[in-house]
Amino acid sequence: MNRLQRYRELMRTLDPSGDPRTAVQMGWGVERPRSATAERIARRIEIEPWSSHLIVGGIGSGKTTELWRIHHRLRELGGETGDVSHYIDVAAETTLEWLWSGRLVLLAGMRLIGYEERVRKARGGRSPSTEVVRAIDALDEFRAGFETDDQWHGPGTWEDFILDQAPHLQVLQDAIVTEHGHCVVLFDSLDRITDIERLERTLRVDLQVFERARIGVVVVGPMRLSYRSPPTTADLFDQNVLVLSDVDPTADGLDFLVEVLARRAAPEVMPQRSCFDIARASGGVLRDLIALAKSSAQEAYVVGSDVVQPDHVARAAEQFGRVRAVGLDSEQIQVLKKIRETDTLVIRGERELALLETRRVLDYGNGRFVVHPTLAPLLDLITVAA
Amino acid sequence: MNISSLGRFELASRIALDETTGSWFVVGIEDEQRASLLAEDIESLVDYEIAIVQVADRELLVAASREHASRLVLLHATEGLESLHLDDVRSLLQRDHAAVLAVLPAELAHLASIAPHFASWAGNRVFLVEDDRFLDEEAREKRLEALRTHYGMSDEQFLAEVEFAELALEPDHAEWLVLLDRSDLLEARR
Repeated sequence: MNRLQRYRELMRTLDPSGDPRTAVQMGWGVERPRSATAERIARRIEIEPWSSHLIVGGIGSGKTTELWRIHHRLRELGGETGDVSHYIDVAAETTLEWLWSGRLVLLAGMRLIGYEERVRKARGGRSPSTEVVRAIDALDEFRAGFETDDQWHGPGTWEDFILDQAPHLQVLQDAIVTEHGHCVVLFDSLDRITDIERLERTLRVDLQVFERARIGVVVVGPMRLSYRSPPTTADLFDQNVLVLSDVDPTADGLDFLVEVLARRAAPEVMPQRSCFDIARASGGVLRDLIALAKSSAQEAYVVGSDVVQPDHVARAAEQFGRVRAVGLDSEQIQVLKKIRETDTLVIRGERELALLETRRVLDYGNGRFVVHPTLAPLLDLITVAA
Repeated sequence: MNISSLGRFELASRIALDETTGSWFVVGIEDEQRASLLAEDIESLVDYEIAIVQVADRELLVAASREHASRLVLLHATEGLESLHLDDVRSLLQRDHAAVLAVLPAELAHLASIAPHFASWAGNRVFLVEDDRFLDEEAREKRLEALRTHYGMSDEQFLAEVEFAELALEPDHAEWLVLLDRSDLLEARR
């Protein structure tokens, strides 16, 4: 393998926009320190498969990866529990902007219809039961309700119509699983919805349907939900809310981050000292960790080095900080400087939330906030045009 | 504070290095002509034609990304970042080959606020292009030295082999020629 091929191989293993399934399948995942998220939720579902759970966390904190790990764990347990897990990337199935009440029910319904057909084929291709045919017809009619621009003219309210789908979902579930099993639906990408009120309205109705149908649900939601006061969304999930904090890159957090890198990059190319530098510069944001490792390797390649050295990491980190610095206004810079001094943040409104959302500020939990390590040293150098 | 500027060829070499990953690059470029020049530089490194597709909205963006899924592609945002709804369609932009999203330089400052999820995906692969800037002299010399050592040839020997067509050109060779300001030989060999 020549130098270019070696680096290209490294680029492939360090792909921050890669499919998280690859990381899970390749065994690149490492248990997070202090909170084995996937394990916790999977165990909870094991004993209460009809329960609903919310995972919130900052962008790039590894929510989708955790969701896939839950999916894998539930599949492993499926032989014993009879439960069947379904992963749905909502953004791949529908436009998030058009997500309103009933859409999650519809997506789950369509998935169960397809799965029931597969199960039937696997069991010898028998015809569906009358009950199942009726459920499929009802859900098709429900889908038609989404495909018209006309206002709802049904006998009850639109919300009633959504709630009426619960028995149909239950029929499909019963046709899929064994006697004691349940279906568990994992909804990804809802963290990209910016209209929190609309998301809450959707969840309020759709979760009721899943509860009535005795179907388990895990939802990935936006970080903003964890800063709402009062935290109304948590009530919808019976307080089953898991906050995926960023990993504080100190002590065991640092070891965890370095281990994540070590699984993907050989020490001959990325020695431990560089891994430690990358881990610290990432601030513990998993996607940033991979992105920084990758761009450090690019820096090394461009200057003809076969090994990623700390000065390559420093260059990559500076570029990372610059990208984060662009677009800040003077008030935001003042807020950031204050956080840099105090490690705290009082969330007063949109300005502070935007800093968290764009990962310029990281939340390590227990009231500890820090400026992203690549941005912090640049704050004194930023001049804002009047 | 500005986004880092890279010389066109240096940026092209970074993009080419990432060719077989699903990485997205966001590049501030003034106009279509400069986008074409960047595509040409990338072509010299990956050895196939880079499609340049104008995308005005999310549907066109997704369609173009899918149509050119098996190769590196340059997508030129003609109506601004907001019209692309990047966060909304991000799941549909997963690829096996790199993609370059070219936007007006002034728009780069708004990427994180308009599409924080997509911005996180792009990470620090956000650049401005400087037309005539090359690698700085120190980096250029280091890279040349690495190429000389790796292939066991001086610049003169390498140029002679290329001129007499004795060398099957690889991406490294294209880079070497451009570093020596002899991309004319690259054209001659096509």
